Order: sequence, then structure tokens, then C-alpha cells
Amino acid sequence: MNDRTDDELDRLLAALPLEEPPAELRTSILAATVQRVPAEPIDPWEAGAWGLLLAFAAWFIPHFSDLNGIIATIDRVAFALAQPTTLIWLTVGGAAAFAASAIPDFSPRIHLARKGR
Amino acid sequence: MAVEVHIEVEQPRTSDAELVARTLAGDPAGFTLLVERYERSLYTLAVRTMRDREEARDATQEAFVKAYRSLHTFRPDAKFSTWIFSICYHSCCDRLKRSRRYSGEEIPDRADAAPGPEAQAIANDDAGRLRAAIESLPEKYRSVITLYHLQGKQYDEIASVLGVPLGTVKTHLFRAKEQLRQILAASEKQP
Repeated sequence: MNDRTDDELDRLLAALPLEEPPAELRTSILAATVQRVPAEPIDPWEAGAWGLLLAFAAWFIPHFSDLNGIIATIDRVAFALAQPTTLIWLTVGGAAAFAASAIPDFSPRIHLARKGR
Repeated sequence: MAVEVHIEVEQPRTSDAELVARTLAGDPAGFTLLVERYERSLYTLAVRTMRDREEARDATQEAFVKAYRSLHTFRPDAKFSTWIFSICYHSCCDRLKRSRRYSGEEIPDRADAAPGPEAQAIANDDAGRLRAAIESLPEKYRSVITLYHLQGKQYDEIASVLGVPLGTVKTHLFRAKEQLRQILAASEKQP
């Protein structure tokens, strides 16, 4: 019947039931949205510690055979750190960082998604 | 004698905009209600657009996830149904393009080939016959007739979802209905 009127067709369309979604669809949508646990930000000190460790490993591994050289370098670094000028600059840097952290709404964060969370 | 009178007052339906605001304020129940409200409509749009239930399921989930992530960009003066239908429709188009079933070429203005045995088997009642007829329409007509089914005679909303001019919606809808009439007439003549 090609002479079906527009109203008849509209009534047929209006009476057409919606498709039934799979039972687990809603659960998986909610799990991927509101129930998803957000990735926790890594603390700055943690990121800094990993950076130091990696930097040390990158420097240490190529010089592994030269143990005397490493000891001498550590001696030099320790000596430099013990100098009054170095200590003054470290104190100034630490005080500046502390002062900056006291400014309201100044809280830099490193947001890195952790695998498996 | 005491007579207890129970008057049931129907709770007013929370608006979509309120549910969006609740979600943005950190209340997960807001988005859960939106999912409950639009899950079937979005799945219907995806099934009719893609003609593949597995793909439609994934496209529906993808649409909700995209909507959730970009909920902060939703304008409160806009209509949520139009916004989320648009996300779902474009997810379907992207998936169709990826699966190479959507070539991007102009689809001919005629119905696809006759429905297969499976489609004919389910077309044994009015709803089944109409569903099979819609499935046999070209993609652009399937989408427009499905949105007309879901959103009613809100042609401007349909145009927003599909991203086409209002005139195109009216033309496509007219042709879709013509083809539906022809397909339904042909299927009713079959024994």
C-alpha cells in the first residue's frame, strides 16, 4: 500500500519500540565514567626522587669500571656541598621554595597517570 | 472512624540541565540518571545507523564516555538530547568510516538491496516490518527517520544532530518516508 498517509506512517513510527540495549551496557558505561577511579597524581618529591635515581644511574653505569674515579667524584661533590657559599645558596633556594608554597592557590602538581590504577 | 487518604504526588522530572549541573558538582547520581534516560534512545540511533548490534553497543558506550569527559563544555541553554545524539551520531560515522563500510561517497537516492532471509523472518508483524524497512533505507535516510522517531517533528534539532541544513533534513525525511511507504507496500504484497 503505497497510499499510506503521512499520519498513518507517523503513528506506525511512534508505536515502534526502541531497541533493547544489552544488559551489561549500562554497567560498562557507568564503570567507564562515574565509577572510574581517577589516576592519582604523583607527589613532586616522588617524581624528584625518581629523577635523581635515574640521573645517578645514567651517570654511574658508564663509569662502573672506574671505581677510583667515582670515589674521587663523590669526594669532590661532598667537598663542594660542604662549602659555606654552597650552603648559603641552598638555604636561599629552600627559603624561596617555602615562601612560594605559602602563597594561596599556588600548588604545582605533577599529574601522571599510573598504570594499573 | 478515621479514614486514611493517600494522595500520590508525582515527582517532577528533573531536567537534563539540572542533572548535568549535579554531575559537574561531583554528584555521580546525576550522570547515572542521564545514562538511564538516554541509553535506549542512543542505542536505537546507533543500531539503526550502523546495522550492527556489537558496533552499536560500542558506539553508545563511546558516546557516553565522550559526553562525560566533555560535560564541562555543554552549554546550559542548549538541549542535552540534541548534544548527546550528535555525539553518538558522529561516533557511529567515525566507526563506519574506520570499518570502511562508509566510503564517504554520495549514497544513491534509492533503497538498498532487498532485505535478506533474516530480515524477512523478523518482518512478520507491523513493528518488525517497519524496522526491516528502516534498515533497508540508505544511511542518510535511516539516520533522519530514526531521529524523527526519537525527537519528533523538531527538524532544527535533527539538523543540529546531523550537521546538515534544515532544508536537507526536510528533503531527506520526505524521501525517506516515500521509500518507507514503497518498501512497506511491497512487503505487504509478499505472501
